[in-house]
Amino acid sequence: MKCKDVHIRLLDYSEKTLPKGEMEEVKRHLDQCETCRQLYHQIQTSWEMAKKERIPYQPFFYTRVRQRLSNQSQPVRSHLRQLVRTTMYPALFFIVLGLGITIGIQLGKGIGPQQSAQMQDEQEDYLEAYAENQYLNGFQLESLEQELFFADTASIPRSLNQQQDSYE
Amino acid sequence: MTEEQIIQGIRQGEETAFKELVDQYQELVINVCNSFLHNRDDALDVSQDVFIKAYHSIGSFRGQSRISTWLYRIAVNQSLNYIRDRKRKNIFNSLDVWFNNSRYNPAETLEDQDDIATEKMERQEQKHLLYKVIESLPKKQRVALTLNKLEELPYKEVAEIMDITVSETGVLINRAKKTLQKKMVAELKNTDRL
Repeated sequence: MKCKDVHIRLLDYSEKTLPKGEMEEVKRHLDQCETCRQLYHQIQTSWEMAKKERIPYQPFFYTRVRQRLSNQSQPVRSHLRQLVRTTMYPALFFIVLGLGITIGIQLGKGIGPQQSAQMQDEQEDYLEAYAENQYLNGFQLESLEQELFFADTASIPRSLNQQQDSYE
Repeated sequence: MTEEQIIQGIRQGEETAFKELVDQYQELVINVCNSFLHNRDDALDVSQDVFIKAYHSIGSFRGQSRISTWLYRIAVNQSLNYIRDRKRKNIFNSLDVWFNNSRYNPAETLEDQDDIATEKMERQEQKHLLYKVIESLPKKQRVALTLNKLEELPYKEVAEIMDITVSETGVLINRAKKTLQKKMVAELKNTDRL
């Protein structure tokens, strides 16, 4: 028998639960192999120690159990508080969140599509008025920007040239 | 008091019946818990939970099995739950230790215990190595092996507690033994004990 085969039979060997032939083979191997013998002793010792580790009868054990039992039955209020903490707080958070979202949506709804279109029209009117009036002052046409960007008069839009001529 | 009288008594709210249950089975429950938890204080703590759970769920006990089997089952489940919770806590504890520059150093603690004889310490280490290997086994194998080898329960009772067949129990225990021995050899080789 090889070391590997002996290793998986050590527990049964120590409890003498192996078949007779295998018991003899393991014993023969252990007599010859120092490493396996050491291993056997170590496994046997630790196993025996684990088995022996027993806790004896505890005289005040019942009193402690009884005490814990009565402690558990008393604090109904604390259970209720815990229930409130675990369920009500998250629920409250989501309610507030929902309310916030709803109010936001309602406020957004306040500006209807007609109102929005009217506001857009007003804005456009203002822009048009500005666009028309900005050329009333001829001085603006000779601004620095024009000098820089429209130095080449050919590139000045025709409408602007015509307007400039009329001022002159 | 017979088992039936105890059960009936607890159902009717008799204090003496519950005391009888606790007194009669406390050693069994505490030691099963200890076989799984390997810690006396934890075992005593979890055992109390076992009896409290038994007290509350006495209505669901149908009397088809013995009280001991029923208590074994509760004890195994409570112990496994405790181990699971302890593992979770350990993750946070290890983080805590890491953030606090690792205050706990097992080597230092061992060095401080000069009064403990070397041989005793070595035995303790061997025992802890065995526990470590047992804990690394798959859950069902661990339960079957612990009940059969440490609690010395027969296959039939292990099967009843685990709610599986006797042959399944045998398979689980054999697999557990093989894995355990292989892992023990590997661990002992790693620690230069061989």
